[in-house]
Amino acid sequence: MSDSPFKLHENTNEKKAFSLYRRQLLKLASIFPVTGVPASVYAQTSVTEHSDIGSEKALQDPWLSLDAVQNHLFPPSESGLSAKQLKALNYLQKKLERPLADHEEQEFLFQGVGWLNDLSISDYRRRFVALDYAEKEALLQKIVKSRAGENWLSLIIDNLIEALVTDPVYGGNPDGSGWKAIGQIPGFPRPQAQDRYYELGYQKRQRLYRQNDEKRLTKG
Amino acid sequence: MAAHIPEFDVCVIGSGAGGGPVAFRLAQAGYQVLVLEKGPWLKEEHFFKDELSCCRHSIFTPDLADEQHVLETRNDYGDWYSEATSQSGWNFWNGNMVGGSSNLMSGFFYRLKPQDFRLKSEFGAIAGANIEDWPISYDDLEPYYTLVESEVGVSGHAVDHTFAEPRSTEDFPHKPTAEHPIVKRIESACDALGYQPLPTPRAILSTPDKGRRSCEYSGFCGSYGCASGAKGSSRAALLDRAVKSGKCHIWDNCKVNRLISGADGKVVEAEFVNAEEQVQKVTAKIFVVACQAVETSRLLLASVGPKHLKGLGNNHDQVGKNLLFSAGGAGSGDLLYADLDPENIKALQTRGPFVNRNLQKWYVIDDEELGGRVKGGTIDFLLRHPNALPQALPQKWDDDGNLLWGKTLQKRIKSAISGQQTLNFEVFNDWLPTDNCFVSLDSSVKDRWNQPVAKVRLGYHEHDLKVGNYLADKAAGVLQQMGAKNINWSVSGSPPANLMAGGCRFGTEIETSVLDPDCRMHDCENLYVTDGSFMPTGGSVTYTWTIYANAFRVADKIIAAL
Repeated sequence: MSDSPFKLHENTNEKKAFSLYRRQLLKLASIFPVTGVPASVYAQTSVTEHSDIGSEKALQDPWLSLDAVQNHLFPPSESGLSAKQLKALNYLQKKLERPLADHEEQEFLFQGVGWLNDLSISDYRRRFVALDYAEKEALLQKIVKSRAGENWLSLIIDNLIEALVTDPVYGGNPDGSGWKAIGQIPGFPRPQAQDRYYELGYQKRQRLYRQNDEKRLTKG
Repeated sequence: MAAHIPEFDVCVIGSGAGGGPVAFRLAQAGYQVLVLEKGPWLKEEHFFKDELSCCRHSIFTPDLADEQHVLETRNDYGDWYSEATSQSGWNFWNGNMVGGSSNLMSGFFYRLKPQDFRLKSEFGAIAGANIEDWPISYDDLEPYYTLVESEVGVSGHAVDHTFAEPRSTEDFPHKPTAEHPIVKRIESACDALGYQPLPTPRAILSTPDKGRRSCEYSGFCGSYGCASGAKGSSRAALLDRAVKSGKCHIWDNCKVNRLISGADGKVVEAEFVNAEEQVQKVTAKIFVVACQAVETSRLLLASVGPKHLKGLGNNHDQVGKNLLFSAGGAGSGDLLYADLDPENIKALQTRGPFVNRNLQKWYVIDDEELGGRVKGGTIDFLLRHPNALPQALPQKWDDDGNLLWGKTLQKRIKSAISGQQTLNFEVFNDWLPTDNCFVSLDSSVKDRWNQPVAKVRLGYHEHDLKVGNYLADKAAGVLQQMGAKNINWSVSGSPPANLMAGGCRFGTEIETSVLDPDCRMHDCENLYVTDGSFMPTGGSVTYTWTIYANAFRVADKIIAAL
């Protein structure tokens, strides 16, 4: 087994790379070899197959590992709701289903699951979900020292925060419980399903443009 | 063969604060008006307080892969360095929709003052700055400032102070909007320091008017569209009424590529790309360009013709030159709830009413620290933006740049959202026009329709920073007096893209200006520019009220010319 990209920069001073633009980082990550389950296998796993988010038994990787990472990063706490209470996995799955979803972001998330489990098996001979709390923490503290690992965790945390503070119409923050937990007063009027950002303005136009581009390519 | 009859009397390109008054007044006067707007037509029913649509996935600006800019800044070696915004991620668009970025303003409205019209005469030349007096005076614009108060709807209360502008009416037509409890704290601090806090006028209706509802105090105002119609956007206040007259037609999602001029130098038609991405043309007797400063210069430079070989009105290389932003900076301080009793905490937690206070004590500064009498500026106070997302996201990093998670992160997020009220301030002072701040066409980067994009050199004058720092220090002193913690502020030469003007300055000489005093192009008699491009200097306040007022003034000139 070759090294995981999550180990590449361990014990080096190269981790302060987060000021780079995300696109460049994703590009950087994409050149690393995938040593675990190929991303294409994950990509073939339909989100809709795992719509029963409430049942952990229904989850398979990459969702199973992502769910475990989310729950570790956002545990039950007095200061905020846990990933599970926020429906953070549902938020992430719905986000990746949006019309203008960032496929590079999805690829990076799924690649990271492979890298994480490679390292987990290498260090503990078990996949991440099977580790106890201290082992999970130690493993995440280890991968955050790598550039790719830090960016992967940072991306997951961004999505956790989005699940905490964005409107419930996007799949997290059930009934505004995230807002309530942190003392946020939302504005009004709030969006309904037909008013989500990708149904409006330039986001809607962007969808049309992408469709036009695909038609041109097909004709070409 | 019969002579071709133009399809419209007037074609207005751009529908923001520069285009709206022209369309409104000409439709009111019975002329057939067409407004071409590159963005979509979003209305009250489309504006939601959505954390994602405001700041994460903008519905108001193009995807940078489709339409972008090239920005030129100095690198660490002092050399100019260009980068396309699709690469840098620095989005230089504002609000591209019917009504333009006036849909997204916070609506704090200021008139210029008489001395702003004669900056060179009042304060003298500054080496390295292209300062010129305006060809009109405050008195020429005053009736139109007053007209804006009633037509757009400005709420406020006029008070006397050292730099109060002369008014032709005693007070505003609308009483001030409801005020946040933090205002009392600002006033107490200012009183203690011997400063006179001034009520800030706001282009937001405190009572219903002309078919528009009054403010409903959601608190999510700046950067968001207004769902009640109370905000005085060009669309809500003017264009909706213009359309109702039956004389004004708005074609949204139509981006003008170029204006086509004839052998006599006059503009004949506008060529545009419509929503279906088809190239079309439309004719009119008079054309009005109001695309916001950068895009107005881009359109003119792209519009070459037999008499305009370097772009419309650019025979003397003046188009795009002397671009302006608002100089100054911003700062903030926290009123920590841990230091306050429950009653005061509850008051500070109030969401909705406005912080209508500003300071103009230093609109002119006479201080040896700045070398004597110089033009100063305005300090405006406001609450931090209510969207929790941009407040929560940075909490994942500790002070050393380490990524945080778990209970530590959750605690930080909760504290950032509900551990204090944060009072911000913004400083506005003159962005001096220089040879290093201008718009040109980029030679290689094209938009989705293969048109050259605007390249913007973003140089600034060091004097701007001196004045900005002076003012920011005074503002920080107010926060300190209020007992705020974590006070910090920043003044830099980085331009705020939402506060731009200049590029087609008006004047009396064709060699040094693009437009005549009526904002008609010197060498193109049927073309007017009515956004902020006309301004030779910008003053030390936000521009929107002045753009509205001048556009109303020019509308009267166009009516006289038709």
